[in-house]
Amino acid sequence: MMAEAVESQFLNTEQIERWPAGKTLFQEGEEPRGIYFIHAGEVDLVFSARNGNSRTLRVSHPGDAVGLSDAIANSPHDCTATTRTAARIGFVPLSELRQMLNDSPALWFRILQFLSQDINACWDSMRTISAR
Amino acid sequence: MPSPYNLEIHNTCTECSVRAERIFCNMTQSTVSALDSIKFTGVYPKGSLLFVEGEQPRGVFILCSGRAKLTTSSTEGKTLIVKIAEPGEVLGASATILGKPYEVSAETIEPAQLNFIKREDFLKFLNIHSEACMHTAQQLSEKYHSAQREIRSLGLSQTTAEKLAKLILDWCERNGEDTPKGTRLKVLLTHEEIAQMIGTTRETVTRLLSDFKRRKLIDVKGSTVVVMQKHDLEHMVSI
Repeated sequence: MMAEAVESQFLNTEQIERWPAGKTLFQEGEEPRGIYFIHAGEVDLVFSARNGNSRTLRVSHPGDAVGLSDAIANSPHDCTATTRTAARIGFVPLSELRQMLNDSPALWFRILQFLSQDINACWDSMRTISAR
Repeated sequence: MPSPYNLEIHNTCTECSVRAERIFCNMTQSTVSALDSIKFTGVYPKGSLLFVEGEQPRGVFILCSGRAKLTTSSTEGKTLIVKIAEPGEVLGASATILGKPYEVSAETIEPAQLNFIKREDFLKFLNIHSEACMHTAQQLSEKYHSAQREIRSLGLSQTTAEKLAKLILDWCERNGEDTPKGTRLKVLLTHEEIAQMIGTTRETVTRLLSDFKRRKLIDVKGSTVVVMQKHDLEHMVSI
């Protein structure tokens, strides 16, 4: 449905960096700065309770876009994202994402695909957690 | 005018009186006209299964009125309610967009009006109307955040009592009505369904609700729950 040229807009815009394990991409409660595309490695999504307890309840893998939903909703991050392993991660700042979506509405469909993947991953985590 | 289940039926989206209040439906007249031309309106009784987990996606259902439960099965075969969908929500969108089997099942828990859109028509509609993509993205984003909240509750709560207290407080926030006695709620879910929302058994829910009643935290009469000691429930929740 989406032309490859449209997809490549993301690739042309993102700043790809290598991250060591244990580095934080964003903290729970922070305002979104952009979205993170995982090209290699894994990222832990850590949830914290008021009493200080925190647990990794989801893990993001290559092909996932981390922080996308918060960027779309412009709402603070609801978890902390930390690299579990060394990772190669592309970053697209929020202002550039908005500009791209204004200039190329066809990109919205790609966003829908990422969000749909995210929701499926959440439901998968819920199945796993409820079986514990 | 008489209608099935006394529902207020909206036959055309362009003339729908509640459209402006709904995230997905609140689009321009021309986009909504296009939506009208591809949707099929249906009225469903309570207990209608709209789609099942693992089924190839046929399309999306827009929940115009009534509510539906979205369920999934854990690896151990336990049923888990992942969400109670409210009017205005689009059901089955992620599977329809990805072209992968539905990840959850959807079943009405009260009589409901739903507009069905076939998968190929919905994808074409999204392709032509970027505004519809934006509104679908907002819907998906809301679903994602709701799922993240559930993950937090399931994964971080220390006890089942805490999970139940959190669920009751969430209901108070969304649908509670303040009265001199406390916050009044209409709970149309069975104990079995409440158990499926917090990943426990029906027996545990019945025991915990009795315990909450004995401690005068809540009062239950039929489907009406009055939360008398909200503060004490809040104290039980650490997430």
